[in-house]
Amino acid sequence: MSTATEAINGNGPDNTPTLTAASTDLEKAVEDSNDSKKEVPLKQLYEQSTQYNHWRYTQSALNEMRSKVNQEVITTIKQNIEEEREQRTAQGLSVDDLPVDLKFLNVEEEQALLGFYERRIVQIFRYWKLPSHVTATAIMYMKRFFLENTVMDFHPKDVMLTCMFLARKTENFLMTIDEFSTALKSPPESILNLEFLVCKNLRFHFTVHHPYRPCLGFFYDMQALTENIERLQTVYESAIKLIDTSLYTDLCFLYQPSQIALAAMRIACKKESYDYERYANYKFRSNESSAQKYDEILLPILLNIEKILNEDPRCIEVEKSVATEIDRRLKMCKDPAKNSESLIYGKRKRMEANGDDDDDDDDKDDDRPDKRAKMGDDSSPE
Amino acid sequence: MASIRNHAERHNAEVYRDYKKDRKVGEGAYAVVYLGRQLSTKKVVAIKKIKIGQFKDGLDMSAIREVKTLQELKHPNVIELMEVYFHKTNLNLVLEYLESDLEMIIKDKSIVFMPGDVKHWMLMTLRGLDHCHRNWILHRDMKPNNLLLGRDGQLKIADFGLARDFGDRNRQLTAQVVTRWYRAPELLFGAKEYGYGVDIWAIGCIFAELLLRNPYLPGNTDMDQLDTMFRALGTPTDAEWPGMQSLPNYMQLNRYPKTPLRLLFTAAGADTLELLESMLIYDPNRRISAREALLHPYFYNRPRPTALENLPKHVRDTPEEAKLKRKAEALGA
Repeated sequence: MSTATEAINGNGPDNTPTLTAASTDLEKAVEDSNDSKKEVPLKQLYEQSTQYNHWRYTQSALNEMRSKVNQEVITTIKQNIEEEREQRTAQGLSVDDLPVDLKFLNVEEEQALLGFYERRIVQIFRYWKLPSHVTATAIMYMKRFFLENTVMDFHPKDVMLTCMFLARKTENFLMTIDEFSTALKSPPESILNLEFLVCKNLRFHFTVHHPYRPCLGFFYDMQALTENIERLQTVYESAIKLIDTSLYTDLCFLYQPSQIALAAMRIACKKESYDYERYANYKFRSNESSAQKYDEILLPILLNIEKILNEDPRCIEVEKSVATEIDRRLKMCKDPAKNSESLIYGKRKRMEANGDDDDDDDDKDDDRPDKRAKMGDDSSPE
Repeated sequence: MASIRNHAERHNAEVYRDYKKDRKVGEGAYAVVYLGRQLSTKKVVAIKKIKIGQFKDGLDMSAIREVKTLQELKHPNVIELMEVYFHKTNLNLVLEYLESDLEMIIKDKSIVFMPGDVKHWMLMTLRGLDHCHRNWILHRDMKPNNLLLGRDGQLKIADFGLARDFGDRNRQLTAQVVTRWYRAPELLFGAKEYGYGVDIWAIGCIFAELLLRNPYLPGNTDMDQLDTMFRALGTPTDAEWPGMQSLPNYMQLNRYPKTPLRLLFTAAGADTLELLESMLIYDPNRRISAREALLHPYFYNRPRPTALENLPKHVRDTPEEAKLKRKAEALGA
């Protein structure tokens, strides 16, 4: 094996110029080049992914981000309503339609509404017979988008449609915008207008890894240890259902897909009274040091995943009446600065126009005015 | 456009302000490439501007493919995607700037290639490609023009507009990929399921081109491509390529005998031809992988790969650089 890694990484037996071409993960190999016999492991693939490097959080960090953006928007909307009120009063206009004492949404309500729309994605994609990973990607896009945004700024139905359309493209199940918008009875403009914004919020990271593939891997792996493939098949199917549920939680931000997959298999084994420990012993307890690693690192992770799947309220379907009620209140919480008929909307627009002076001269040829993504009035849960 | 509260929107504006496009260096059907600078670091970069406004379906597939794959691939032999930003209705990809490519070098007949040069270019190409395949990504447009060369001699695989993931069973792929001269036989027969073999075949053609200094299989049409291929490598038999006849566009073609590669590649060593031959095996399942190719004796045997700094370069001064050099000379610098 040492020769394999040497050639691949350019760490030739005699200290050759190819060393300079060594990959960065092998800088160490270059330093140790005197010891050419030394095996140089390639860096773990998952650790190089954007998902691992940019989208991992602790639960408290997630809570903090969400509550921060929630608080910020509430403050802004309150201020804007006051500003609008002052301006209208100054001009002798009516302020009767301006809301007083608004009941803004809290983070839990935002999450419940998002959960409602995440399940809509599942329904629609199932109807279209798309594979689970495409569904999971669309849900993840939506989750990532709403980490630093709130439903009070962007209606989840609008974002949902754009995430679905984008996921079909990134996962190679392209559908034209005409087909898509006809099928979902939504105007193409509103879907496309949000696409740039969604991409920016995804930090242009389109690849998302899901627990489905590693789960299939565990299923194959466990087949080596069983005489009863049918039973194992049942376990696997039950694990897939758990993974489907995990998509509604924060697990994808907290743990690696393979960890979620193994946890799902472990729970499914318990449910189906299938001997999980036999596999764990074979796979993870083959020697003392790996057994220790399993017991001290991996097992606590598996237990925590199980706990979340048991206790997270988002695992339970959101009732339509609940979603409708949240949505009704959401409609009240509109930012007047986003209402084109308000006074401060006009004022903000004029300020933006004055501030926007940085144009590339090379860009003159392509001037399509940016269209404002509307917070559609028809965006009630259906 | 959107709320200024949006963090991503602010970040996008910051990135946009940090880059300056200096001049146009290329223009394709859907993108314009500029030479530019990162203002905060003075680093020279290439900025690929993709006009999304012209696409009815929003972000187009090739932009998505390129961004999606390059974000995940970080390797010395794969071009680095440094930033992505929107401006107006354009998507801008900020990429490492490399002055030339393998095609320019091959065409520059004033340059003589040594066997060690070819070996190092092949080594770098295969390392980059192995990294792609290790990540389950097919490039699907390997050709000399997409192998960029930096001033330091480093080779980097570029243009991932056709790249996609592979390896899942029952996933249909399009056979309409890879520039014709580098297109694998299974693609020409319309295969809908294929794998790393399509990139390896293309690399085999590039390897041959480096040895010949001319395109190896320059077919005029898709049909002629198969004929050109069979003329050079012999018409495959069922025994050589089981399953060939069940490919969607399979057809019986002229039968040519197999001629040994050494009759055409007279100057190449036995190990060179053995590696080349294993890349140009008709049956994609028996074709060598990038990983196996890297372990081939060709890379251990002498001559050693030429040192990076001694590799031939195709250095063209930009008009500004040429002007500066003349000025410097005039000033006696």
